[in-house]
Amino acid sequence: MSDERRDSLLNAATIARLGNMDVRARAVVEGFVSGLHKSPYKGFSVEFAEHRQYMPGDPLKTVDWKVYGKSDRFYVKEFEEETNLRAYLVIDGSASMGFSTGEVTKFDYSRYLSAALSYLMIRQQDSVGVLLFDEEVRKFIPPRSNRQHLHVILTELERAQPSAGTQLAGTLHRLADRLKRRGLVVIMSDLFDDPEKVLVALRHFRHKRNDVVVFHVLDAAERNFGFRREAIFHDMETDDRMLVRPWEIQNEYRDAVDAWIDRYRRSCREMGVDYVPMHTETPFDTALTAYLDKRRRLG
Amino acid sequence: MTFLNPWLLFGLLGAGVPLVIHLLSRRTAQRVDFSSLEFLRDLERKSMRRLRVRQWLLLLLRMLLVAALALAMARPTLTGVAAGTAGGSTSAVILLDGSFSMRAELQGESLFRRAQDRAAEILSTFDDGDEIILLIPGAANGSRAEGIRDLALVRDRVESATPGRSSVDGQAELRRAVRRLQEARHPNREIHVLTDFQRSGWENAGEAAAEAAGVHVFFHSLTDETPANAWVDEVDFSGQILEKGTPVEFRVVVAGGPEFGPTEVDVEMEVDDHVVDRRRIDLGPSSRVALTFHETFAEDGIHLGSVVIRGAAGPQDDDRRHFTLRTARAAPVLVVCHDERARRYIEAALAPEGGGTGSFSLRTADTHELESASRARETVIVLADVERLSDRELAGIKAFLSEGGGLLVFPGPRTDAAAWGRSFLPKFVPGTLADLRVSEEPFRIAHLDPSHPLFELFRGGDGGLTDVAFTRALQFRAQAGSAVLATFTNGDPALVESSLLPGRVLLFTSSLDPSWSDFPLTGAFLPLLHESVRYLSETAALAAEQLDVGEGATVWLPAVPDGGTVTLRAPNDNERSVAPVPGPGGYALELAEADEPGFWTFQSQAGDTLAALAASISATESDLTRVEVAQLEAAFGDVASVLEGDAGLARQMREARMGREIGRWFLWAAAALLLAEMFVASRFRGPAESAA
Repeated sequence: MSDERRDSLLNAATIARLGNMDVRARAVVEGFVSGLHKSPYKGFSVEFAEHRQYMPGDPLKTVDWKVYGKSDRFYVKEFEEETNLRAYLVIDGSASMGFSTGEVTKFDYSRYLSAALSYLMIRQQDSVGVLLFDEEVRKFIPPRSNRQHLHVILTELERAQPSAGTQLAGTLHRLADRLKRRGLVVIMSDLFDDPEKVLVALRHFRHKRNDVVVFHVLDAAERNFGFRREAIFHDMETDDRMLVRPWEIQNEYRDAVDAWIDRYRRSCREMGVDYVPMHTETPFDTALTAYLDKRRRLG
Repeated sequence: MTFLNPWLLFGLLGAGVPLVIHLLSRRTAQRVDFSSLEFLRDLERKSMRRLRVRQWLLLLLRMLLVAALALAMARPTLTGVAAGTAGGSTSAVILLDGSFSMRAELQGESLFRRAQDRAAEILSTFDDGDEIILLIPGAANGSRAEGIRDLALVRDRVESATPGRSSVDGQAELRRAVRRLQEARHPNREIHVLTDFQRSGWENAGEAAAEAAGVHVFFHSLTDETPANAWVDEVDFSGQILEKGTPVEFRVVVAGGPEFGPTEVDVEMEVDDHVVDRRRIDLGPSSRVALTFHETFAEDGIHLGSVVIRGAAGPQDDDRRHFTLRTARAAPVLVVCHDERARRYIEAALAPEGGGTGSFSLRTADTHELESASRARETVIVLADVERLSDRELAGIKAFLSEGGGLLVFPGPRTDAAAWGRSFLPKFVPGTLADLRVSEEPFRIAHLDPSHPLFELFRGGDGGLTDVAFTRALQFRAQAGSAVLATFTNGDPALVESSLLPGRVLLFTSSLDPSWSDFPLTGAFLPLLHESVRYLSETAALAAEQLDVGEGATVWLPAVPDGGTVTLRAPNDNERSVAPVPGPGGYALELAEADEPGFWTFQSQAGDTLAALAASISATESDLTRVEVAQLEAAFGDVASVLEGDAGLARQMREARMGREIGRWFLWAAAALLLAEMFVASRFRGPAESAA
């Protein structure tokens, strides 16, 4: 696969033009994997990776009897236990996620990213669950690791559309309460909620020993407020309106957004949450790499 | 406030354009769906309110800018004339003061020259369609313009005019100018007053304001300074017996104006071409110095004299005051007396040798002669023991006194006191008569007014006047206008003087009849009668012999010598013939106007001086103190303007005609608003606007 082709597959706008969610997920992951120097599956895949000589004390069930039959030597497979990860993809489906100044909304971007992550995770035998929410939980798919489950996930993501307002903090709290086993929680949201409450909710996950990755998905215009004409701005969630001359407040707006992002970044770092700011033009490999890094650290 | 271009006020509607644009831009603003207004709401709380204020400020500035431009173009004025006259043709009176005071100089240039230049400047603002009426009151003969209307001719006459030496009555001249404009062709009417605003001439000019409705009066201020000047204010020798050999005292007052001196000046008196005396005095600003000179005349006749200040600043003509006097002229006296003894006493006292020799010439007549009494024939009338006077006789006396004749009255036994009280006293000697006071015990004169010239001879002692014994006298009660010169021991007036008319009246309350007093038989009678007649004769004559320049006079002669040809010689030695006009009892010689200071003499064909008149600059004209022009302007109110003329006279006139134009203020305001708008806009102009 050429570099150009690979890069385009990592671009949300390109992915959006592809047939369905399955194709999109596969394209993203394949594009991503082809760019790596070595397979991302190594180390946490069920496929053969490494044998070591049996040592007294090793469980007999880890002995690779096929190798013994061929070579009369005892070798054990060390990786079987490490692939058993439960991941929850928490997707913000509120109306604000439908905002876009380009070809891809934040929600689409989150859907494509979720699909790609699901594909990648299930390829590694990790269990993946999906939670779609707005003011309340709209859809929850418990984590599974088989191929059929991937199909379920991708079908749901295909159908999902943004709507209604956001109750991000409340939803995260409910999810944190619901998780019986610790796992990896991947949140994709614009985080338009009270930061204090959101951070408390994230802390709730951490308190229950979950690992958390936050993909803070924003449109470029939400960061730089690069509008050029006076306009009546309509809040997609609350229906509020406001006449704004963008050039008058642009600088103040950027400062406020930067401070807001910086607050999330700092607080997340302090509580051990991986915070990844993204906008809809960010290539997917950024998110996937972040995930792999996290996965690697979880080892 | 009014506007020269009122139709451009529609431009004020343009002030609404920024507002309309603002409102339309709000209405047409596109809708943008945005994920969250949370940050915008925060910003509104913090910044956008401030920005909104700026935005409204910007809108306000733009509206004001358009309004200011519209107002500037409409050319607003603070006050104005009726819109119908604005910009139309003008009828204007140029009132150029040609009085003596305009000769005064400042920085080597006369005020009249300044006025001429200013007039030329004013005339340059008119065109041929305008109607110009030129008046130059007080100017030298030959340059007094009277209603010249041709613009080119007006320019010539202004340039060629020279100031005169007389005074100008500002109030009268303004009324005259207003009357001229009542017949003017154009509705836009103006009077341009070019004067020095000398107080004596212009102090009451504001009283003409009531007649100036519909006329705009421009007072052109030529200077704020008062030129320095000194002048001979007064030469007085009245109240004295003028005869040869008797010293005459001349009371002279020299004055300095507010800007004069202080400095030393020499004051000199000349009589009949020789210097009588010279004094050196210190003369300061706004000061008056009194001097006395004495001269004894050796010859009878008419004497010509002057008092001169040597070396004083200011116009020269008023440094010299002229006077004339006559000595030892036989005073013609008309005696009307119904008591034979009294008549004899009078004749014995005034003309002891009979006829017209000596100091007095007597003529006796009946009362009906009084109807045609004339100072041309007699200078004094003596009435003694006259019962009553008819209305015609009273009218004759009134005319006689009006000419300056003198009247001496003695009552007597025939006198009808009630009739005199009703008819004579109210007209000539204010007072009332009560019953005749009769006393067995003689009463005498107890008190004399020592300052009165009549009693000068009696100053050393009483000259026997207090020894006169009176047993009868009319009880006279003096009223305002009558002065009691002597009183009896019982307090009643003995001698009363009145001068309601130019001529004087002396009324004795007792009689020359021996049954009333022994007065004619005492030593006091003759000198007192002489003094009384001289006093009455001489004062009246002098009043007509000293004139202010600009005044006229009529001289009465009993007869015209040498076949009736009389020559009037002016101070500049120009001569012209004067035709004597026959009148009651004599001939009148008329000097229409003494337009030059100096001596104006009427001479017979043989070269004898028949009469001499001394013309001097009016003392009030010499005082160059100015009236506050602002007072005049205030008196005239909105229809008057004071123009300094230092720069932009045409503009000042235009503003004053139409009001004060303030369009330029609005232009400045527009410029300031534009700068403010640029500043405010630059603080928060967006990329879209910048690109636009």
